[in-house]
Amino acid sequence: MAMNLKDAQVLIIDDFEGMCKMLREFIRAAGAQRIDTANNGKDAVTAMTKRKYDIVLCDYNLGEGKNGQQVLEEAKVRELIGYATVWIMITAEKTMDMVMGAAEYEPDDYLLKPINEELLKGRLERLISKKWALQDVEKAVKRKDYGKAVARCDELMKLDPTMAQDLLRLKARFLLAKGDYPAVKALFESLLSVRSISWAKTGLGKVYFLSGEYLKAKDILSEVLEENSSSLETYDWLVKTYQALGDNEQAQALITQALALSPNSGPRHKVLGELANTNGDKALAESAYRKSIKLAEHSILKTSEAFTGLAQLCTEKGDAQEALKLMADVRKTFSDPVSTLQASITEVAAHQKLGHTAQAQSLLQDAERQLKGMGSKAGVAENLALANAMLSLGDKEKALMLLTQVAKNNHDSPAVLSQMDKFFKEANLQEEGKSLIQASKDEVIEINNQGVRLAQDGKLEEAIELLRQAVAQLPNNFRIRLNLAGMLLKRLQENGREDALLYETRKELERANILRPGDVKCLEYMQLLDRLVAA
Amino acid sequence: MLAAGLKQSWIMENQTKSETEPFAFADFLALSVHDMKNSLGMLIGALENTIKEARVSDSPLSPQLGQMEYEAKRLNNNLLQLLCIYKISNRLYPVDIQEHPIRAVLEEIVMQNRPLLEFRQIKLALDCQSDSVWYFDKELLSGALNNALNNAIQHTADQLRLVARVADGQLEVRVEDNGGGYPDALLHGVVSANKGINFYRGSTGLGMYFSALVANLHQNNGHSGSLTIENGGAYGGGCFVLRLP
Repeated sequence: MAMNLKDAQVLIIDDFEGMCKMLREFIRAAGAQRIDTANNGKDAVTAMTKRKYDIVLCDYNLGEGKNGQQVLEEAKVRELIGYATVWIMITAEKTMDMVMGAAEYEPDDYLLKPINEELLKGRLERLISKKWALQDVEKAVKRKDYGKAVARCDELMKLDPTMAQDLLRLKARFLLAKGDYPAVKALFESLLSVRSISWAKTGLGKVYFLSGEYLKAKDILSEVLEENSSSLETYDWLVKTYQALGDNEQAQALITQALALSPNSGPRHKVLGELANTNGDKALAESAYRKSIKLAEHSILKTSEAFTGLAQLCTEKGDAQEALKLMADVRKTFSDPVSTLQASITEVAAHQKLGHTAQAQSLLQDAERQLKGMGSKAGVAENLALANAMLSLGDKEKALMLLTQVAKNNHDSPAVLSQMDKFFKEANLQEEGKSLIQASKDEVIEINNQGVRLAQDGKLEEAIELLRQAVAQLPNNFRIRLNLAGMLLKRLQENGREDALLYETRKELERANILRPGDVKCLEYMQLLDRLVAA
Repeated sequence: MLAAGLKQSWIMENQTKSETEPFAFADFLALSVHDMKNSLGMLIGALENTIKEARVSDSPLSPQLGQMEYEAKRLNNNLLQLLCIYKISNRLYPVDIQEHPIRAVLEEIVMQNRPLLEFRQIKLALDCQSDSVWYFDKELLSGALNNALNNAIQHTADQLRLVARVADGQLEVRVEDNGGGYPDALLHGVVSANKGINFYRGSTGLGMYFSALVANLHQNNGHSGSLTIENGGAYGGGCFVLRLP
């Protein structure tokens, strides 16, 4: 990273020509020579595809089209800028969106107007030297070597106490990425024992949420709100917490508050749409979904969820044609498997409403194929949506088969099982559902226990083989993968290291960690594996 | 007839709209203030450039330009404070108390005021350790100190001192000048945001009200911040003292 201002490639993005000129003057006086300008988000993105910039000065408000945040997101997602790029977002006043959290797409800094030459130069120099200091950390993160990144943060903290805050935040982010919840909890708790710091409290709430401790999450996140020093992140996690606790009314009230503080978030309007729909306010849900679609129009991070949510509402109130139109938009705009699957499922309902039975049937078959093709990437929501479509077209047998598979894959997850319970209740299949869930649970528990018994009797090979077969049948079952990894570890300890087994163990643990991030046992196994590899 | 009818219907529409979607005058003001701040930002930038050119060419207009920049800055500070007070009272201001390196924040405030200080030939001494950090909302503290500096620039003879130190669990920031100081009538200890707006040194007191509010928003372990004005300090002039727990 050769960076002094003289050699730096600079991009200035501002829709106001006068402001562009002024910034150009400032940065030229500060020493920069290679300066480009763009007057809107689209031109800025084009410029970044043609040239690698070291410094980007971007006004948040860019008039029509993308805003500054959306330009930043697109640049990061499409890797038009690297980690060495210094991105400064310029705004007229402090807004809720500027409160730095741990969000993925944050600029390096915000600068409030009015700006003068000295201020800009001073800030740039400071940011460049900070980037320089964090070089090794960023490199480690790029390799996903979070252990190294954390260690480097600790070293830097000793060297420069003024950077402590930034480094602690980074450290917490890396520990979270590693899934090391106990360590990140300890970090936040030690910070909070000295002083109430809202980002640390919000972080702790997030960890509680991720470890399923919803009541604790609720308490600490509500505390942050009462102290009147919350970030939007605090609201987002508290909304999720209330949803997890089943209090959708409170969740809706909170997302409404967050939208009052920062009205232009497409994703939050989508959440409001979902909650209003659940809570029975269809009119509000519809307008929220429409706002979400409009606001995310120019965003690279937009998803199809608001479209399908809106289309379902349209079908419900008898406007199936609009639902089909929305899904045509989805197919044009999104190509990811989840969107395609949801589009097919949504179209099934719309065609059925219109009396096009044959079309509905053939779309349902498409959807089944799509779900199969997704393998372990298909989540519970997709499975339930497909099962619902099957039921509505009268194919109960197929629906129950699919649901059995979901129950078996999640036999030890109370959250999923209660979601299924609710699903059966709504489909008027409560009794049948109860026995399906129970039978699935019993079957998987029996296989698992059989494996454990074999292992206890010293028949480790047989046990491993049994669980390997079970994993092949139930690829999304966390518990079985974890136990398989445990037995593989035992074998490695007994018979010495063997590369193929080390590799298999690593793969099982990584999959298990994706299925249920941060499980303590899974983490223990990973540490044990690391020790075995290092030995 | 037709025109009158149209007008009537327009008024009707407007009325129903205001019933379902109340648009408060305060919101309208806040939006306008935001817009005015943008213009002022441009004006200040242009003025600073012009001042530089005028100095190079030894223009006789320099003194007027300096006065213009001072007034533009004052307007900007006032608008910023109005906007903040509006947002704080509507719980819309994102109070964000974080740990910051103090010296870096103070240096930026000095940079923002550098052109005006140079123009007025006022010396400013910054006294703060480079490794000390404290917890505060950066924008609120900057707003209060910018205002204090702007005020001091107007009342000092030729020297200012910006001092910050952390002791006894609090940060103390002082803006000291070597002017004539505050009149006795104004020196009644701690300035409170609850006492309403008074007149300080000929201003409306908006800045003092804002600064007292900023102090009050900083709370820790049951202690809250305070604002004091006094005479004395290193230069024997007016002192603006902000203490944050």
